Amino acid sequence: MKASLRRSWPDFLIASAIFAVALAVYNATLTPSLSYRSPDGNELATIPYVLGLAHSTGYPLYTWLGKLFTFVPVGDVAHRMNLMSAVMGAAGVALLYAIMILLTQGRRLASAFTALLFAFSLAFWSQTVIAEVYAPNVFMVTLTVWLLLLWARAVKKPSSRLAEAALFCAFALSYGLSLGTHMSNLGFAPAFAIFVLLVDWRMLYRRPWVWLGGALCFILGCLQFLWLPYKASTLNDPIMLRNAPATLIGIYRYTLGAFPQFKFAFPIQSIPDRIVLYLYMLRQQFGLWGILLGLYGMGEMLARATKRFYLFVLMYLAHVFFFVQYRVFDLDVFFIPAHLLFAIFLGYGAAQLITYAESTVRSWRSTGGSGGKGRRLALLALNAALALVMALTVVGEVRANWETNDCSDDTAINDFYENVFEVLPEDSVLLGPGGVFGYDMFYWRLVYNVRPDVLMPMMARSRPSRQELAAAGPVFTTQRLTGGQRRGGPWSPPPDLVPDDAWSIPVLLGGSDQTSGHRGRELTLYRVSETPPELVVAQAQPQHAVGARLGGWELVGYDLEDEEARAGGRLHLTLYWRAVEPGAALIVTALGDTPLETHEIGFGNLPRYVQEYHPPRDGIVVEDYWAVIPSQVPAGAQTLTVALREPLRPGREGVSPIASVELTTVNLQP
Amino acid sequence: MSTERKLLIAFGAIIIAGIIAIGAFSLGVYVGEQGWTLPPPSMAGPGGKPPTGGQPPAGPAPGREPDLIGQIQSLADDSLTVRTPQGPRLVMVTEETRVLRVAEGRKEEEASLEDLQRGMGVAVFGSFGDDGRTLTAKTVVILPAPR
Repeated sequence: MKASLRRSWPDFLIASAIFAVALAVYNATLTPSLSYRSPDGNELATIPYVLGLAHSTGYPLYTWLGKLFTFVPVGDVAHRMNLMSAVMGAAGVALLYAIMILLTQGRRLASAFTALLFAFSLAFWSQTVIAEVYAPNVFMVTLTVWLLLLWARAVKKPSSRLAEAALFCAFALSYGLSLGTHMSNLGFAPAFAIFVLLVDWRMLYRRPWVWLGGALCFILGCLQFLWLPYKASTLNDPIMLRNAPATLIGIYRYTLGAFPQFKFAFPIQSIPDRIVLYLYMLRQQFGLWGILLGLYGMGEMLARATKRFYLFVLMYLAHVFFFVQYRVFDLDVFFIPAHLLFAIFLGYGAAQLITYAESTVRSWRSTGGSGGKGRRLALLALNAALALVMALTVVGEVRANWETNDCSDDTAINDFYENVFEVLPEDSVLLGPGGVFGYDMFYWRLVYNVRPDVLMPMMARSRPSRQELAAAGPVFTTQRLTGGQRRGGPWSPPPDLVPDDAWSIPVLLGGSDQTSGHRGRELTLYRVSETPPELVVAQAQPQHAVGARLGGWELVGYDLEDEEARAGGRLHLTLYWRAVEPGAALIVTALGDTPLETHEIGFGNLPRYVQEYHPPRDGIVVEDYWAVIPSQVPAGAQTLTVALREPLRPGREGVSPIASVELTTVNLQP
Repeated sequence: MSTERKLLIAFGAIIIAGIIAIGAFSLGVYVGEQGWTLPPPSMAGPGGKPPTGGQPPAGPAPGREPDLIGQIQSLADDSLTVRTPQGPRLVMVTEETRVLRVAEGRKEEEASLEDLQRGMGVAVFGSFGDDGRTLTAKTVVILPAPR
């Protein structure tokens, strides 16, 4: 025992160092609070705090672990949930190192390389910086596999029957619990069962108490799903309520039967295309050389560690087979466990290549007739060279993926909602999306009880009628509701809550989420009104005349209520435009280098206003609104700029402005 | 080497050969249907800046920015996969999906789903379905090719 501990302490230190490095990078790129990077992220940041019930499949273990992290005294609750992804992701990476050590008989260089290569791969890293289930799930999968491999090692030592039984039960418990971070782990069951039989099928009749104990521990882990009926009454999402887990059939539909429309959703002729898509994603993680090394590692593992090969290849195939046919918008994150398993093959291939290189050096030195000192030096030089190559590969990967995964400046949602709750009048109504998409708003009420006087109908289980809503107070919305531009869909506020011909008038404009790969959502607060603002006037007297031509529009002038502001606060701005060559135009305001907001001229209300009110052709378009100042804008004097931009074209980074004009200098307080 | 181990290795070799064969077959079908020409690097590519401030070139949804901007990576009967800096994104298309093409001078013209091709830059306007994880396109705007 003591000898074993002596042998393993360097691995413990290396695993700790890998954990620390991964956590440091994840923490440096961590989202400060709420985020639109994942459709479910804000729900998953909120539900653990209130110990509620997340969307299907419920994620009880995630919820409970998350509750523990909400006690960590760092940042706000959403930040703590993001931190949970970082910590558990880093712990999963450290466990990957431990798995590789077991697989490669102590090849530390290859094991560390595998762990770090996976740690900073594009898809996995992206999930360690937000509140999501995928990083905690990697921790649970690696823990389960590590315990299973430890059990397989213990089986070979007849003297440690108790340890063997304990490890088997720990593996089974961990596997049962892992279903609470992602139900797809159930697909690993055949691989686990076949591996157990390959390692010790005689256990079935010689030591039935071991596998019976394991089965009981697995069931014990699955008992977490009793959380679902216990918390079913807290659901407020109409989509989830259709399959509320209050009955046995409801529990089935909420878990194993959830999302039937996603599963095996492609006809067979589409499968080659889906496989190519998977290969593309795999190449995004490890590159072409990584794929080749992984295939080589598969072959090596088959020849040298046949039973383990079956464990990993069956886990891998089950996962890829299922998700290749899974029809979701953001498919890449679902393949993270498959990427983890492929990384194991890749690492095994790397370890074998190192072994071959070392034995070549050994044989070369012995053929040359040099002594042991020369051989040691040659081996040292070989290992140093390999370590350098692997370190450079990992550093290159970090550099390549840093900007895409760096969310440390993503404060747009928090900046927006903090201002929303400041500008909303007393006893007003705030509408917005419901379900998992509504938690950017619900978070503030559920976690911090912000503005309890403001009615949030989409958070309630039963929705008020239009009359009740009108009687409640002035209505605001974060989602455009009127003028034929209603986005629709089950997540939107019911269409009958406000009159069809009401106007959505922007009051507060926030920055947009720039990191999600899809637009996420507009961060705009609209006032719902039966009458429009005076959008086009015949004459205007701006406080500050400008007279600058920007594309097809002339910026006549502007009003700025206060030239003093604070980062995270807002600017009250009025822009006066005259059409020279009328057409759609995108207005972008910025403070220094930081964009404040982007909107279409007239806020998208101009065509309807012109149609209904027939303003003078040479009239002046008046845009009166608050612009949120991102909290990361540095304090001091910052130039306020207004620009017109042309449509986006692929192959170019960002969008270049047609023209811009500097308005004034705003003195920003910290 | 025991017979049992030989059998396991032989069966494992078949599995690996099967994995390679299925991958190669899929790539062959893909290349046969869509050609060798790989799309140019993504709009910013991994590590590059994601597109910012995208605008509907006009018309399809006043006041709205696209839900998704990227390059078409693959096409199926009822869906297309759009390549974005963060990874591929699946978009469902229906018979009701409107396709517009932005020509030079920012004029728009009607197009059809058949006009969509791999490598094209597109802006997608749509809505998420009941499940919250499926984006169904209401309008797909084909963006002008890079100059």
